[in-house]
Amino acid sequence: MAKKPAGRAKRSVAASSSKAKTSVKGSGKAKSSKRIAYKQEYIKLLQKTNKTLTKEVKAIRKAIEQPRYSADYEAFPKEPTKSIAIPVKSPRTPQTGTVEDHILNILQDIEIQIRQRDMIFEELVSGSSKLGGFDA
Amino acid sequence: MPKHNAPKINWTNINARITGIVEKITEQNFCIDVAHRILLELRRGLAWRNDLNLPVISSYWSRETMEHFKLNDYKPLLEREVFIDANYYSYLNLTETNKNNASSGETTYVVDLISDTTDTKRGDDLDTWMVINQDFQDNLKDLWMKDVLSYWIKEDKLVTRKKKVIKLEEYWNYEDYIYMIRVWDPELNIKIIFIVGTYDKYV
Repeated sequence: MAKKPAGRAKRSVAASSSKAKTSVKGSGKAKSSKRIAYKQEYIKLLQKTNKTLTKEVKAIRKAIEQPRYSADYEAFPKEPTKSIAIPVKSPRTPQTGTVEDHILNILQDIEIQIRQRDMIFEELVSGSSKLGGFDA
Repeated sequence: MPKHNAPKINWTNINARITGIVEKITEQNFCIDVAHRILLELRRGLAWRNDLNLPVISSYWSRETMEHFKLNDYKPLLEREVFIDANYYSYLNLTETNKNNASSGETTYVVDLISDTTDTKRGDDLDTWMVINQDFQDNLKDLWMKDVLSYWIKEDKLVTRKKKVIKLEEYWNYEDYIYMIRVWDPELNIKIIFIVGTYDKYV
């Protein structure tokens, strides 16, 4: 079979023995380097999550310190998705509400957003794996 | 409402809600992150199959992974590590994995994306799959002999890693020929194996 690269078969033989060991013992130098790589990935993810949460916390703090605060904070669209009804709260009026109202409104916005993410993921998970062409 | 008449802030309630939000966001980010990594590997390995909805498969298994985390002891998700690797393995690797499962009580799912046409998302328990998939073994053997046997005879590469004298037609069992994507964790009681191809050609 001329098209098969010669190095490939050789590499695979060597890899097979190391893989077999890895699958049994689950340790080794290669794994520790992988661990480091994934830790770095997770640090990135943590930083990203932290950034998002910091933003939300800042908004809440501002709301506590400045009851009239409304700048820089925009509630995301609350239209329900076509398939699942989402509880929609009445339009909020931060200028007339109390500090607690304002904080609770922000929290409610975040929670609704989280629920929407959940539903989107749920729809994706429960979808057919053979719709075809989706990933092409 | 005059300021002095405003209801007191219930900090306990607010704190509990923020804790819930953080937990939920952590879970979601975990799922999205794992799904994305699985998707990248599946795209690489399954370029030859454009009839599959790979985002569905990857998100399904990322959520399954998280459910197993919860069943285990549900330590903070970001402190754990989920390994995803893609490489060529032999059929022997599959049987060894199966043997290890029996002793460790680990759950291993195999998602056969080569020959399984019934359900490519949920996969099968590895033990069950190996029992019912004699066809897969036979196909693999035939393909290996057709694809690479003559080439390896010519290149004098027929040396088993166990240095055993084996029948030529049994050599396929030892040779790394099946391309697999494995999702696993040293402490997690789940292992997912996606069988996505063989050298160059597919069953």
